[in-house]
Amino acid sequence: MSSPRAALGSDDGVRAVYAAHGSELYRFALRSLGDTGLAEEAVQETFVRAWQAADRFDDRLGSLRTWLFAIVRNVVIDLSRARAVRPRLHDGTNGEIDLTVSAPDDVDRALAAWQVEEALRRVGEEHRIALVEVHYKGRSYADVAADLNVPVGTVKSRVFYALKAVRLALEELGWGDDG
Amino acid sequence: MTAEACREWRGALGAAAIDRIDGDDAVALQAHLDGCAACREELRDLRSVVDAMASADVDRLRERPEPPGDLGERVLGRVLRARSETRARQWAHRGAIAAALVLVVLVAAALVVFVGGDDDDRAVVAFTVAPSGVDAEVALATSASGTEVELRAHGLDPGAWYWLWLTGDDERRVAAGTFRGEPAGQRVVMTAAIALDDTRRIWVTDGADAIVLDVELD
Repeated sequence: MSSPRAALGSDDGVRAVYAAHGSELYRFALRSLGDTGLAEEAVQETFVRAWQAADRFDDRLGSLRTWLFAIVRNVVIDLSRARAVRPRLHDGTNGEIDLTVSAPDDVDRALAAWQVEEALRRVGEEHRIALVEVHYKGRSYADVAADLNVPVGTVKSRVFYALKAVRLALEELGWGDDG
Repeated sequence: MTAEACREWRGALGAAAIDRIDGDDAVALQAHLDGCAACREELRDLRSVVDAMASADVDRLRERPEPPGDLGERVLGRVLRARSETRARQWAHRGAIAAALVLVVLVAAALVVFVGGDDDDRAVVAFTVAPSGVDAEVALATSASGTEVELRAHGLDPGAWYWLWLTGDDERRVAAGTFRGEPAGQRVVMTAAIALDDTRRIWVTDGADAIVLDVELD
């Protein structure tokens, strides 16, 4: 991918960046905001801000994807704050504005959760089932092995490789990056 | 990654990472870990993944929402609008800068007119008698020893000597000094021992004592 200014400077460039990253930006925004309309707004605003700030992008500091997620994170914070403020202005209270629901920590938690869910979706089905059933649902290896009609050792092995695959997928999704 | 020799411990490492190991399996794994740095590091990595996984909601895994089909075009429309708005602002900004520059020039010109440029409070007088092709004037100011005369002239004979004189009420002529004609004109400052208020005439003679430039002051 060329620099964001060059990429976002043409119609085809915008379409290409959207095709590469638009869906996952949308899913993260939807996961964080829980509202399809706001998620669509977040994606549009993210691309506008990316175009405006393209000169400041430095690919030595991270990928285009990481940079876009840093932007959408801020957009989500702004939109959720705006949403938090709006109802309180009309609800007849003393005018205090509660911003805790839109704190950056909340958005970062949402981003972390979305990353893990997205990573789990990328793990092969057999391995994902083993990990979800044993770890998230707390079932015994033996129960899961019986359900799947495989040896217990196979389930243990699938859990191990599922964890490795999650780690790899998380790294691809920018896990551990500053953005 | 654990070494190939440690392959048999992978299931146990996964179970330990999600804290689902106990009894003899846990004792045996611990004994192995005590002597295997690679597996200890592997377990640390897996546990960091498990820690991160705590935030996930696995009920959402079946969901994979896709954005509306027209969102890409709406994104493009917003970027295009932002581009055109930015361009409009840039043009407005340039227009404002141009207007500011015009204002600065006008103010500077006004200052020159009203303050008199570098003449300060000097009186500038053009010679009323001058040969054809000669353009000359003097700027006059009071000095401690009389009157300071700054002569600015173009068209005088290059290399020729000239004398600058001031004449007072008593018709006494006072020499301010001599100067030489220059091809590019000259700007010379001389002082005459006569008060500016008493000065009635300023004139220039050539080497033959003929009057070349002359002006009567009011």
